[in-house]
Amino acid sequence: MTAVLELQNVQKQFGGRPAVRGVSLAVEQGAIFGFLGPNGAGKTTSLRMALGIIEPDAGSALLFGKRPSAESLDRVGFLPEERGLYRKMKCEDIIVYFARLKGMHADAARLRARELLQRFGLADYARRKVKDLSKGMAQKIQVLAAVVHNPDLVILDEPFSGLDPVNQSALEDLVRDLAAQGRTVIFSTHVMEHAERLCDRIALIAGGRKIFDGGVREALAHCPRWVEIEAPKQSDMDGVAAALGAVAERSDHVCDDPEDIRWRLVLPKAIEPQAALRACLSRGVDVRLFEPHRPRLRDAFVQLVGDDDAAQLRTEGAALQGDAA
Amino acid sequence: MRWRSVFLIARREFLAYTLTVGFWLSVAFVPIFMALGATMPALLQSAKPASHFALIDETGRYADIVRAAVTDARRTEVREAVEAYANTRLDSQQRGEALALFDQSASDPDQAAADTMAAFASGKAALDLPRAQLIERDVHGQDLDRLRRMMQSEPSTNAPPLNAVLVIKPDGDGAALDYWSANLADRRLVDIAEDAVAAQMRIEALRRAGLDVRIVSEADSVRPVTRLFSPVKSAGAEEVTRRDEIRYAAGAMLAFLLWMLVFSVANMLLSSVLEEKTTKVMESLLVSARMSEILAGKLLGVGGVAFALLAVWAASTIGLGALVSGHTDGFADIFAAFADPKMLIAFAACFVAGYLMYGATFLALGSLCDSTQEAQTLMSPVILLLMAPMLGIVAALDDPNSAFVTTLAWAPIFTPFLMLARLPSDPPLWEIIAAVVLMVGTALLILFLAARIFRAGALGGGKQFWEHNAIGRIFARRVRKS
Repeated sequence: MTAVLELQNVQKQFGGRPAVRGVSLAVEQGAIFGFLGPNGAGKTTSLRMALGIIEPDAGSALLFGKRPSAESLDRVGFLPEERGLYRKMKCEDIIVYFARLKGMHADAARLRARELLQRFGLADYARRKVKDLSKGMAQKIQVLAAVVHNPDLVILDEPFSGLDPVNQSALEDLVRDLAAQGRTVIFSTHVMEHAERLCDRIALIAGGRKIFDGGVREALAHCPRWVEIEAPKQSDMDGVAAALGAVAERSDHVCDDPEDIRWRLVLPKAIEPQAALRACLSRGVDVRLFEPHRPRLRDAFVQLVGDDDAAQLRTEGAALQGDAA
Repeated sequence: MRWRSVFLIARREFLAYTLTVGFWLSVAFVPIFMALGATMPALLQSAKPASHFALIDETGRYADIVRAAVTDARRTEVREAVEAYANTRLDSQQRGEALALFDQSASDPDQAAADTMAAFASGKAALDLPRAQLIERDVHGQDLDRLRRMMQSEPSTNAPPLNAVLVIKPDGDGAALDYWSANLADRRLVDIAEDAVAAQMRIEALRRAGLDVRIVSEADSVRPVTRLFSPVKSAGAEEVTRRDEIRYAAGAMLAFLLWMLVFSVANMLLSSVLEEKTTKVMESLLVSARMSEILAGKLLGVGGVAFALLAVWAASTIGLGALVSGHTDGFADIFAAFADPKMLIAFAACFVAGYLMYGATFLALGSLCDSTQEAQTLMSPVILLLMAPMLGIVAALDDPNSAFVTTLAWAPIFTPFLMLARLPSDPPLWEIIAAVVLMVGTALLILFLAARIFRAGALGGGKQFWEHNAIGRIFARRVRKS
């Protein structure tokens, strides 16, 4: 497969502070690629280097196999993290403007803009000025301006931030549509759930370093699975854990029956949750609740970054705040 | 450079300004201001109410002289109106005949105007005569105390107002004037009376001294004929004409116009970049066009706005000129001074150079600011610096070749304005060539530096630019080369 975008050991410093430290990755044609990490991890800087907006201090960025150029950028649709439109322009006109800058003919651009506005339920807003739109609505217009010229590669920097759940879902649909048309989509986000639902591949970045690059399943495989079990206090959970090679932790959770306790049983990678249930039953544990947990990308992220680093990132006010959303 | 992108960006910039009400208001401001300036004195004059006055002549010698002077002043006004009418509505032969008839007509100027109109303008549009400024009231037998009370009473339909009383009192061999008026700012009557009585007192004094008044008057009117010559004018045509004198003023006025135009539109460039930075459009733009295309597009677009401004101003000036040409002596000379091809070419060249220098500078400054407040702070010293050419232009009105003006003209950022102001004095050719080279070179250098700063500032913003590696960021190719 051809890599439509490639970063080769790119590095960038701002005022002596490293923002990106030797990130390498390659995104293949037709993929939905998630670029994940907390705020300030270096995602936007990496994407800007990939697009040639800023030059790396070291390493190189290739777009469609070549250094970014005006011609290759015409094949790219980009939604920047810092979004904005000309406030006094009308919605349709602004979409047409960016389409024409990307080389579309005036008539074709207007036709396509109307088609997109219609398709995304924004036809009534076509002649309205941007300043009269809500923030979310303006963001949708900017997404349309980014994809109006049918780009081969769509790069969306934090596209879900600022959107309500309904519009987030609509945007996820748009990303799937674009991928279904054979286009490559790269988006950065610090909200892991979107990546989990959409991505074929992800790269995790923290502190300017890439800490993972691969499939979602592959990332999740780095996480231990666990089950939560409620059983009477006198149950031999330590014996169950020992038999499985697992770790049993008593939870603070208050059970309905005061005689019961909730345990968290962290399983080794090779052990399936069913094996834990069998072990409980074989040791006569009176299981009142058995809840297997599927690992999430955020868990994988914490696992990959390491607890200390994750804590540090949290204190920087960045880590995973959006997960709650 | 992709000219298609440049054109699209330029067009957006142009339309962003020209499709606003504010732009057309500012465009209209200049012709409106000019029209007001041209018509305001006449409007104010015609709007002024007539002054009703009374004369008390205690000398018995000067009242008729004052009355004759008031009539003469009225005759001058009416004659100007008749002449303006004749200039616009009668052919050249009729014009002369009409004025001759007016001059020979009855002593009442309004009646003379009516007679002239009846003879030459029958069936044509009526002559709109200016309102009489001074009207005498017959107050025979009334003393000053009574007249003072009349001045303070409210006017009524059967008793017109009394605005002023002029009392002519004996004073030695001559007279003294006591002027009573509720509005002492209105000196129309007293000025006329003072001149007339003074002239009569002078004649009387000459007679008392046994001098021939006619000879003294002739002696007073003797003046040497003075002609002005310029050594730089071609042989045989060295004499300085009125048109030449107007050229000097035209040079300074064009320089002022250029200054006003350049700074009006350069500010637009700063606002434009600031808007793109504050609304975060810049990053989207950077992926859609090269930095050089954005820069060129903005300069071209706002340059188009300047051209539109200039076109409207020029058209309104010509229109206004055509309107007043029948009423204003020498309009053709004024027009010729401004429409001189040499001046127009120089104006175009100075505009391009000045606009590129200041436009690029303002673009670069805009890219370094993240807010209007920052821009204002950064602009304050720049604006102070930019006031310097104004001083030079004012000085050039007195002497375009003074050391101050010529020295300032060699400061490249002031050259476009001051060379334009100096041009009517026909500076040596080498100076003109050197000025052009200086302007072009400086414009190119500023464009080069501004492009570097713009690239660094457009994304990084002022804070990053100033705090970290300012010079390095200008020259290092860290940002995408365009």
